[in-house]
Amino acid sequence: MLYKYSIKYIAILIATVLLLFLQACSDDENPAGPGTETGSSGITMALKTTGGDETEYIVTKDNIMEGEISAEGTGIEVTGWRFFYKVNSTLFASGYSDDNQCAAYVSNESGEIVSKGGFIFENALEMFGHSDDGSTLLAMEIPRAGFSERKLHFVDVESAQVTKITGTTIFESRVDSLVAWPTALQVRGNKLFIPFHKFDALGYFTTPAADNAYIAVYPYPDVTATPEKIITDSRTSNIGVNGSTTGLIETDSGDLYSFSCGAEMAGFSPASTKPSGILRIKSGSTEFDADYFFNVEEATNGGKLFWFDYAGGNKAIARILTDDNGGAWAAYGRDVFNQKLVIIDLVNQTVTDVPDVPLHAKRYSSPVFVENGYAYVSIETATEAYVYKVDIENATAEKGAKIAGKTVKGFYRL
Amino acid sequence: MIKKHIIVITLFLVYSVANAQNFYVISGRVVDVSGHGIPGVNIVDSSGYYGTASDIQGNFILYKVPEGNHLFAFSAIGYESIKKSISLSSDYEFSQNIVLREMAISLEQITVRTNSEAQDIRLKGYSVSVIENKRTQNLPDDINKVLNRTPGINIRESGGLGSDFNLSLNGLSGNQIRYFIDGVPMENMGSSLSLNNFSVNLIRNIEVYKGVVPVTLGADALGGAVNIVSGFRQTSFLDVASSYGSFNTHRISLNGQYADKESKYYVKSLLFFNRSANSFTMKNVPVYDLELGNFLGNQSVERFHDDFTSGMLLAEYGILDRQLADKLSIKIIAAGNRKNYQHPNNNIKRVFGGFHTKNSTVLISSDYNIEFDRFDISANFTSGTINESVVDTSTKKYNWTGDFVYREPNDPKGELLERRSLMNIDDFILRGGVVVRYTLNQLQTLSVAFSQNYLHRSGEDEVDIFNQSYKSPNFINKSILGLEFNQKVFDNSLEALLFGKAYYYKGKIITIDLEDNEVTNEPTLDNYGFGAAISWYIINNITIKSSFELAYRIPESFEILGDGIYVNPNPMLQPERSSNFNFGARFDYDSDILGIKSELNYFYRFSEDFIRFNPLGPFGEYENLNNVKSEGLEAGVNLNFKSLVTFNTNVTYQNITDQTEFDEGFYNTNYKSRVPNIPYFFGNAGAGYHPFGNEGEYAFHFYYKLRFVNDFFLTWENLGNKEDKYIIPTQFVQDFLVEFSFENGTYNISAGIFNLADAEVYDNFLIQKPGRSFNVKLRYFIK
Repeated sequence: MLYKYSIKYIAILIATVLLLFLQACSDDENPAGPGTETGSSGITMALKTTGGDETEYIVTKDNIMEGEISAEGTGIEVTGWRFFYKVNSTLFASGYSDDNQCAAYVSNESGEIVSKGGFIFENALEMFGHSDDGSTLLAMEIPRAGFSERKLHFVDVESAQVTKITGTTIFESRVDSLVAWPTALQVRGNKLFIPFHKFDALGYFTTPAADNAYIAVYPYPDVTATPEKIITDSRTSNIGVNGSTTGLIETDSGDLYSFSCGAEMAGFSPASTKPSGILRIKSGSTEFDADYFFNVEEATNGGKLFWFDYAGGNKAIARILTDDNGGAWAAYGRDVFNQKLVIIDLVNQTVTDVPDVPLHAKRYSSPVFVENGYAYVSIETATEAYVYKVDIENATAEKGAKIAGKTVKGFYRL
Repeated sequence: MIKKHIIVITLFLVYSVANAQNFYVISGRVVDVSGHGIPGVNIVDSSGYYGTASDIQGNFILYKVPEGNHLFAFSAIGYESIKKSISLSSDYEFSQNIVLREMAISLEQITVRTNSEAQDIRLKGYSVSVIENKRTQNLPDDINKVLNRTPGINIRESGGLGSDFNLSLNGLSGNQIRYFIDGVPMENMGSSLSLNNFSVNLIRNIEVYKGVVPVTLGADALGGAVNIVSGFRQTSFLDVASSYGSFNTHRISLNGQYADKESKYYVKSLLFFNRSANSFTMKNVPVYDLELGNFLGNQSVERFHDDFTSGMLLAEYGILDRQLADKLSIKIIAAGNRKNYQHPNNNIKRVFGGFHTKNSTVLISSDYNIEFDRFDISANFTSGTINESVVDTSTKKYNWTGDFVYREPNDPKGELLERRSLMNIDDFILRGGVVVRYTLNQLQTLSVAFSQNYLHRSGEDEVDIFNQSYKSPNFINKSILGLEFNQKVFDNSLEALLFGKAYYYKGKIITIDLEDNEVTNEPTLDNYGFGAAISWYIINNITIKSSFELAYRIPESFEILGDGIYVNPNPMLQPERSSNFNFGARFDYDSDILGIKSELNYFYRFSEDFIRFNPLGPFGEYENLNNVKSEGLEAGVNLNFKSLVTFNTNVTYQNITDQTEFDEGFYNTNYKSRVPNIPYFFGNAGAGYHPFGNEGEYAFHFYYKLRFVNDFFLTWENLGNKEDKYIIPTQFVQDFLVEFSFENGTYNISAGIFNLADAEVYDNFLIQKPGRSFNVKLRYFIK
């Protein structure tokens, strides 16, 4: 044993000498890492860094309107690309292609973010929602090709344990070779609403039936294998876009609003011929409101909704693709910067640009964080990423901290 | 007036078997009675073709003297000429000392010392490690272990025998390193013929070219090449070995040859068989419940689905020393394997009980060599079919305890894939290589090498009808042309070579687009690389060498052509390219008491346009995205005291940094940071005790071996909270081996304890390697 340690000692000694030598030769001056400034009561963020595998960190910072948001010396490391979804005060980070595990994070008594367990799944969980009372996370496995059930996981938020898995195809047609890809899991009262795309079963994400909006309606919490009904509306295209969990949102009054995109840039192939717009299901109803259709494409001179989320006061914060000329899936890339941030009055059917925010490109985002009438978003232009604090009421924005990385996937108060 | 004098010529012979005809290097020193070197002594053989003159100290070197009888004349003004006949003949035993004593009027002693071909290659300008496998052949070792003890090399394995591995050489790894057997590229030859399948006793030497690769190894090797030399001898022999060890591990090999020198032919047969249950214990793996996926706790369990079986059969026939061929041979190789997977290579949270892969390979290969006038021509031709199957058809779902549940009948999920699948990929390969060497004169040689490599791939999923991969066949064709010029100066003590390589690539793929139309892509590439190497034999024991190459790696077919599903083709993809530089020194010393072989090398690699998968929504493509710099030092010392005690150690430190300043338009916050998840400091030490020496009727050997890999981070070391960063812990693995041979090496028995301290060892994040294991090997070798 003595021998073992002496060898190790020698090895370390040699290493040190070599290190010093190489350090001396090296011109790569790394700036000394600043000390951790992890506050206890700050805003927690899912930060995607640059370089290599673009490692993601859960970083907490007191003031995100100044300085830099960085994982330098701080933050919890997670493995692989992750979906981030918060329910009550628990943040779920769910693996995509690298790790088939979903981990839950909370703030402990001293304000530190800590893991409180997790669970594994088989196919990636790609769509998320929650019960009205915030006690249950809903998460769905969505197979890409072939006819098979989508698996709805019921996860107890407190224990981060799966309590039930229910399989449902949502919709499928073997005759037309079509399957359903959900774009939201929205619970309201005793119903679960799942809007979906109709995809070619071959798994190429093609949308041969893009020209209608579809929502499957299920009983909740006892979700059945087949929906009670599927409601259809021909005024606009399939609801939602890939990767976004907010294809359908609920306002304070219990009305549900859905957005339809239909753009080639957002993954529709072929693109829909219907205008991009917003549909409504009124509180208490489970049918589309025939008297309501907000044609956003018309209101924005040809723009298409790429994302929206509820920001309070019957207003939604949204991203509009100002054109659809980027090519297939380009809205998920970093070559085309044509997304503008807007505030939508859902009831009065108005769109107001937020002029302080530049045109940008944004792919994945957690549900938006809104506090005291301000929404916090990560805005990425061709060369920079910054936090913006958006005044929902006045459609103004203030530029905040610089993001040392590719994006902040989401902001959370845990 | 003729002075009486004594010439002491130390003949230092280097045996080389690059081709059928063997060459030697003869070196020595001419001195007078008082021991002073005599400069300007002309040394010429009777043909007048091989000759040189001694330098100011009386030293001389003659390179590339072919085998046969030579009569050398030593003459100088003012001295009496002497003649000495030297017989150079092939002999498999290296390092024998022949002391010739001649009491001629002017010549007292000549020392003829044969040295290994390995030393010949080491003294070339390339940065090269030559592993002489003679000392290892009797041991229950495997090639990966042997290679791992080489400076600059780090091999990361994901389990036991047959497990997938990744070899890193001076910071470059994976398909940036190319592999060869006897100079023939092993690329796309199938998993049954990968390095770790070969039993160590089938191999004579392993040459590791670091960053700069000779044109004779015709491949697009970005970071270097590993050439396994099985060695050809014109003699009959039989070599049978069998080993048995922990985890029910068997390795059997048979290598036999009958050579008829009268009738000038030989027949050879080689086979190996490997099998292991790999049932080593996994310490503290997470167990999840099978229905819901909730975490139940950590548990130590034995692996239950990691069996590996592989085998190969080779038959060869050749003719020798004919008018139109010094050697012409044909061989047929049949190989296969089956490998069960306990879990994916990067994740222990998924546990398999049925997932496995299978391979079968059939190759036919022919070698040709001839020398005439000043030409030396060798050629190889190989063709064959390779079938790889990935079998994910189990309807069961397992966890680490070995428990399983059956899936619902309507659940199409496989263990790994989204749908149960049995994917067969059928490759057809056709490759040829020709090397022509032309000796211009004593000091200059010119070599031209051409190789081409054609791969045709088709595939079908027998189970998953939705799997479209490789449904339309595709092909790639790579051709590489190399030209090398070799110049010796200063009495042959300085050797320089200059080379250029041209790479041509052509491919074709048919994919189905979103509207079900066939889309044909036909990418082509052509690139030009060059390099140089110089070695300077300063004084008797010290060689300084330096080499440079601008090297390329042509993208793999799947990188350009995509997978037909989620990886889109990228016909614009460019090769990875790297500027590789080495500078090193060797010190070799040999006496009856002490032998020293030592080296110190500095390496520098600046690699651009690394190919990385870039996702776009659920799709993506391979793009040229990263630049990486790797520089470091490696040092190694081997000591041999009176052939009684041997000691060796080597250490490698490498600093690999990300040189990509911008990532998708953003300033890369990790610009110039150390690239994570790659070991940067590692080394080996070993000691041997040989109470009866190395030769003789009986031999006893005791070995202690130790490997050290410093811990390293999974992701960028400067990012994240230090306390909870993911880490691959320090490895400290000790092996102990004993070997006993009798009847001059005919019968050999050896035993080894590997990972003596039963350390928990990881090469990759959370992927455990075997704990302590035992192995016994018997080997019979006769010639």
